[in-house]
Amino acid sequence: MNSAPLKILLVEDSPSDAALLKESLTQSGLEHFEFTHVECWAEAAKTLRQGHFDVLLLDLSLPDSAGRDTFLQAHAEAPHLPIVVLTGIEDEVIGLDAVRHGIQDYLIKGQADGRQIARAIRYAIERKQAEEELQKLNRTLRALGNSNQALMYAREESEFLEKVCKIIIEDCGHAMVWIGYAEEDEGKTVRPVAHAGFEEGYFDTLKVTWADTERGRGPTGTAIRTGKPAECRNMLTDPKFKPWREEAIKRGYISSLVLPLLAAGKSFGAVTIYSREPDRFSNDEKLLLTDLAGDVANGIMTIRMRLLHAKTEAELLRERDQLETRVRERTAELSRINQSLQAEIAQRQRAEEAHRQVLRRLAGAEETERGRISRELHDRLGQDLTGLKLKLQLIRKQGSFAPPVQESLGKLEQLADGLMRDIHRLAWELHPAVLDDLGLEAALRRYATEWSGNNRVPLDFHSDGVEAHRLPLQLETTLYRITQEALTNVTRHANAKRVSVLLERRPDHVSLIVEDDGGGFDAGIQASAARGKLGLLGMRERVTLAGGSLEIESTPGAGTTVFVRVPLKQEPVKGLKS
Amino acid sequence: MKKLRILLADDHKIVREGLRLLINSQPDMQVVGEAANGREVLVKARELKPDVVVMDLSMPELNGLQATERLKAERPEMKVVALTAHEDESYLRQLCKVGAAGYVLKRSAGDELVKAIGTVAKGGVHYEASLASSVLAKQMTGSPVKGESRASELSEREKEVLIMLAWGYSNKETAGRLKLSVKTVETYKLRIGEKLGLRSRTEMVQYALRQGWLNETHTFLPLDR
Repeated sequence: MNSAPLKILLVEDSPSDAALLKESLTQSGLEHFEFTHVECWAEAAKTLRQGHFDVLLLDLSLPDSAGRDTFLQAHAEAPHLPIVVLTGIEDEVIGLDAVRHGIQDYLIKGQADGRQIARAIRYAIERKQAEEELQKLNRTLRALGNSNQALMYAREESEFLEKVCKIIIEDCGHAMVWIGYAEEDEGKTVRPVAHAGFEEGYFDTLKVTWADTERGRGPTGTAIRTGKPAECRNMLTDPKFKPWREEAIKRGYISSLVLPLLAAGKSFGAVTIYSREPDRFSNDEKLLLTDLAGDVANGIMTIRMRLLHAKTEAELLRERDQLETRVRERTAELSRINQSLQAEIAQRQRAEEAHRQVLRRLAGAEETERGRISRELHDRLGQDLTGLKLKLQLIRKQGSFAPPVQESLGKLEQLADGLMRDIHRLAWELHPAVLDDLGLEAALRRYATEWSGNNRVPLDFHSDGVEAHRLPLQLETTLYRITQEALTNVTRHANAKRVSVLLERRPDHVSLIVEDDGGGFDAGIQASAARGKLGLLGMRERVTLAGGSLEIESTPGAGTTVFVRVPLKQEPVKGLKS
Repeated sequence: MKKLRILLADDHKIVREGLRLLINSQPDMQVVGEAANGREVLVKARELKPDVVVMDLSMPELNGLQATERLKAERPEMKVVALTAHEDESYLRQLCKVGAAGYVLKRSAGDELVKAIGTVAKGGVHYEASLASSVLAKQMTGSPVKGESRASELSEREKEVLIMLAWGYSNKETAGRLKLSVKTVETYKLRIGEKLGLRSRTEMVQYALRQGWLNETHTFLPLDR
């Protein structure tokens, strides 16, 4: 920088003042400088647009501009140029005002010697540079903040990257920025994924790689390969930039800074920034932009994580939905099966009910028939035999017959006697008249006595509440038959020493218990073995038909107990039945 | 000599005929009327005022038992000899209750009936020997009273088990209710029997009744199975 001549533009309407100033500067020892002098603002503005200057020395009182307006116009025209205002002593207030408005310094004419003026110029340049740098850093800082904010709102990676590029351009004022991803393909391509700023087909010519080849040794390839920031200070002179130089210069790019995007210490891409100024990036700005690139890399990772998370979540949701669907389908299927099962059960129940009806009718018919035959035997045959016997007696007593005839008559009487006994027994066995005439208690007591006598086993009979109020005849018959069957089982299998028969009426049910102290058995085996052995209907069927329940409790060696419980719904039939 | 006046009640003509011939063959007896059903007996009895009614038990309209009951209520002095084919002490017991003085099986009709008529006419009773003895035996002795003095030997738990069993619960239900195992209930049951000398479930129930253990109202709740 020191080697280049300091380019000074002086705007001064007084030729003598201008000459004096130039003289003073030359004497001050300021190293070589180029001095351009114009006399009015219009000419100054024109000159500024045409060439590059390091500093502007500005007299405020010009033919076409005066006072405050002069420095405001100058600053607007060349915002990055250090400006030193020259004023008369009376303009000191304006001079102060000028400094407040971005002017670097002011000199009062005639009061400063050459050395002071030279120092003021150097300081003005330095101050302006520092100020400019600060502004750049501020802008970059803002970009950093904005890009972080962008991340917060970003839904999608490419959207985020575009946004970041836009922010870098807008906040920092660079020429162009692009973000490229390092592809793991054969050519190690760097694929541009987002950009902002002026490019005009630049990417079509780019062909950057991150391989260690000619097109990979530019700043972008280098940054990706090394994982460290890389830059091209001046594209016109940097030999490594040769492959892209022509196209870049066409678009006004002069320098570039490339920041690698790192994840877990490995670069997966880069942010490349082009500037229109050579050697544009200060160390401070590089640090800030490195931070920004770090944030961008994190942002990308965050978005990818978010995406992955969302995807996983969506996956889980879908799986859950599928599961729910499957559960619903399964449930529906089950309910269908259940329905058909219910239908089947209902059908079965109907069939069973029909079966029970038939059984009930059969049982009723059997009992009726037994009763009829029993009465027939009793009332007709029995009575006829009674008449026969009485007549035989009379004949024997009235006539005087020969002894053999007497003997025959006696034998006939005995025969009639035996027949009567047999018929009575047969009638009782078929259907005990006592059950109809006197009720269940009397019938059971009689049966118990008979059974005990026949089997030579003591039987304890106990009844409660069934004598005074009789049960429905059908139920009495059922309970009578069940007792008969239970006791028949005891005879056949139990080898009992003592038997209990308990008949008790409770408020809502009647309970019949037949218990023996015999060998006992396994209830399941016995239940299946007993089926089919006993009469038309087994005990259980009879109880079921009466709407009751039957339980058998038996332990080998500890006897067997049959519990029958039949609920009572209707009022009992009262009194004797004729 | 005044003959005993007999009314015959039987729905069978042949039987009535036989009976009439038999009774009339006795020098001191005379059949004064016959009835074929329970209602007719009542009417004829009022009308004829017999000394003895020979009553068949199985008759239409009113059976012999019901007819006897009404007859005795109307004319307590009239004697009834029941004639039946039923060899059943329950009938005998019922007939005793309503006031029949004689109970003769048709099988034994003839000499036994004649004897019975004679006996009841004199104010005695004549019951079929085989049935009467068993009825009397039970009435006299009842079932022997057991265990009473030994009630205190039962533990509280045994007493609970006994009461449950007496209410008619099965071993399983008793076990469920008292939170015992079925095996334990079985053991308790055996021990209770041994302690009190009770030989069967019936004796246990009767014992519990006599102790007054079944007096309180009990809601019978079988176990859900």
